[in-house]
Amino acid sequence: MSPTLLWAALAFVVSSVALAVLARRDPKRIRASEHEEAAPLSPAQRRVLASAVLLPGAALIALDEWPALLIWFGSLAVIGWGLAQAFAPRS
Amino acid sequence: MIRLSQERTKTLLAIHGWSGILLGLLLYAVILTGMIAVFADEIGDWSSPSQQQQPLAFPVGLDAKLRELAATVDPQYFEELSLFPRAGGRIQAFFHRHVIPEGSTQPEEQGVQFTLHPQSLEVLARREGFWHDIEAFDLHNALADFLVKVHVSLHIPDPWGLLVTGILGLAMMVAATTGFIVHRHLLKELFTIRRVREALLARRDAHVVAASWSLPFAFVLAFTGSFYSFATSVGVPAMATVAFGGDQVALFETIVGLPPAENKARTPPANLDAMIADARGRTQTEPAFAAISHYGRADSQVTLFSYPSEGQLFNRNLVYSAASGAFVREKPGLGLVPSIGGAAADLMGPLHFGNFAGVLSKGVWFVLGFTLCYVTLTGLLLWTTRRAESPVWHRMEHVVSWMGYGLPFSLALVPHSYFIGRAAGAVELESPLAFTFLSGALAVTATALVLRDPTKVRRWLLAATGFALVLLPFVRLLAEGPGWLEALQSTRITVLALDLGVLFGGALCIRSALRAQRTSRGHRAIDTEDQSELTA
Repeated sequence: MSPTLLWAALAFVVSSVALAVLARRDPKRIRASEHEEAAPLSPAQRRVLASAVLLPGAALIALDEWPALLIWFGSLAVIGWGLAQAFAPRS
Repeated sequence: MIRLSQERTKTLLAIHGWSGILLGLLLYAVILTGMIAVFADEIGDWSSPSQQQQPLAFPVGLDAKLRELAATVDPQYFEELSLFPRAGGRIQAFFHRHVIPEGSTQPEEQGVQFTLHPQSLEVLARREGFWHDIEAFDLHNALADFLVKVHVSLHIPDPWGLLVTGILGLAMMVAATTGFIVHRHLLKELFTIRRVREALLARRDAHVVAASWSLPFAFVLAFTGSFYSFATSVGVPAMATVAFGGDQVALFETIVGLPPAENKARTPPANLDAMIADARGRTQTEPAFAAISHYGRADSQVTLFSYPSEGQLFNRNLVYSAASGAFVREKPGLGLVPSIGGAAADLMGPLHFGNFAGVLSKGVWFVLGFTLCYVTLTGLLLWTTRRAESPVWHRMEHVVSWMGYGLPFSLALVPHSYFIGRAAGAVELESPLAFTFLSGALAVTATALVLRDPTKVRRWLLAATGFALVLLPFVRLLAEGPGWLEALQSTRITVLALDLGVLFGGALCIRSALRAQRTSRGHRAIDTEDQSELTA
C-alpha cells in the first residue's frame, strides 16, 4: 500500500468516525426529525468532535502529505453528504 | 454566519437562481462530462485495450524506432516531435511543424503521426496532415476524445467553445459564492434534511446539504476550469497584445523559457532510451509525455514530463540536450526558476484533474463531480418547480427534466456506437459518435413530448440510462473486446474495473427509477387519503 493511500485512509477513518457521531446526534437534525430518539450533543461536545474531524487534516499538513490531504478533504465532503442523506428521515 | 438584510438576501438569492438557471443546463453538461473525463485515460484503455498491459509508457527500443521512422519523414516536420502513450498504451509519435493555415490567425500543427504498438513498437498507423484532420481518424482514442471535447468546449469550434466553458465556470463561481452568503446556517444545517410531507422543503434541504458539503470543491473546480478555458482563448492573446505587441512567440519564450542559441548543424541525437531511464531515476515515476525540439539538430532539446511521484503534488519537467544526452535542468511549468506564480499555475492541473495520486484521487474527484451534478440539477429543478404555476416556468421544468436526465442517457449510448462502429470496421468514428449522441437527444425529446409529466420523464430516462449502461459490457464483448478472464490473465485490470463500474452505475439508475416509481405511488396514495379526510 502506498504511503499516500495509507495516510489518507487513516485520516479518513478517524475523521469519519467523529463525523458520524456528529451527524447522528446533531441537535438541529434531531429537532427536525419526527421519530429521532438519539440525545443531542452539547455545544462543548460538538466542538470536541469537530476538532477530531479536522485534526487529521492538520496532521497531514504537518507531515507534508499534501496529496493525502486533498484525498482526505475530498472524501470528507463525500462522506459528510452521505451521512446527511443516510440519517435523513425516510419519506 | 453572514448577517444580511431581507432585501439583500432576496437580491443575492435572485442572482444565485438566475446565474444558475440561465447557464445551468450547459454547466450541468460540462460538469457531467467533466466527471466522466476524470477517467479519460482509463476509458481509452477500456474501449481500446492492447493485448497485454505495458508497464513502461516508453519501452526500451523507442530510440532506435524513432531513428528508423525519422528516415521516412520529410525533415520540415522535425521542428518538433511529441511522444505520448494513449489508449491501451499505444505510443503516438508526431513529427510536426507549426504553420498558420490560410484564413486563420492561430498556428496549427502539421506533420506525420505514427501509432506504435506498446510492446513491439511496430507501426500500427501512419497519417499525414494537420492535427485536427489526423485526430478524426484516431479510432483507438475516439471515445475518450469525444467525451473530453464535450467537457472542454461542448464541441463548439475554438476559441468560442473555450470561451463558453470559461463563462460557465464563472457562473458556477457566482452561484457558489451567492449560495454560500445566502445560506445563513451553513454549519448548523450540514446534516438537516427534513423528509416530511412538504416534498419541496425536503428537496430544498437535499440541495442545500449537498451544496454545502461540496462548496470548497465547487470553487476549486470552477476556478481552475475557468483558468484553463480562458488561459489559451483570452489570456495568452491578451497578454501578448498588452506586453509583447501581439507577438505570442515572444510571450511563450518569456513564460516558458528561451530556446538555446540556434544551431542548425545536423547532429545525430543521443540515446533517448538513456534519457528516459535517467528521468525515471530522478522523478521515481514513469514519464507521461516527451517533446523533442528540432529533431536531429545540434540545438535539439528533449523535455520529459512526468506526473507527480508518490507523496508529491506537482508534475515534473526535465530538460535534456538531445545532442549529448546530458541532463540540462529541471524546469518549472512557468518561467525558468521556481516562483509563487509558477507554483500556483502548476497547482491548477492536480486540483482540476484530480490525477495527482492515480486512480485513488481520480475516484474521489469523480464522486465530487457527481455531487456537483446533483447540486446543479436539484438547484435547477427546485427553481423551476417552485415557479411551476406560471406556464413558462412549467415548460422550463420540462426542459430541465428532459435535459438533466436525457443527457446521461445520450452519453450512455455513445460507447455503444463506438463498439459497434469498431466491429463494423469504420475508418472514422467522430461523426458516428456525434450522430448517436444527437439521435439519443432526439429520442429523449420525443419521450419528453409523449410522456408530458416531468416526474414520469425523469423516471423513464433514468431507467433507460440504467439499461444502456448495463448492456454496455455485453456490447463490448460482442464487438470482440476481451472477456474478463482474458483481461485478468493479461493484467488489463482497467477493462474489468470499468465493466464493473458501468454495471454498478446502471444497476443504481434502475434501482433509483424503481424507487422513484414506488415513491410516486406512495405520494398519490397520501394525496388520495388527504382528499378523503378533507371531504369527510
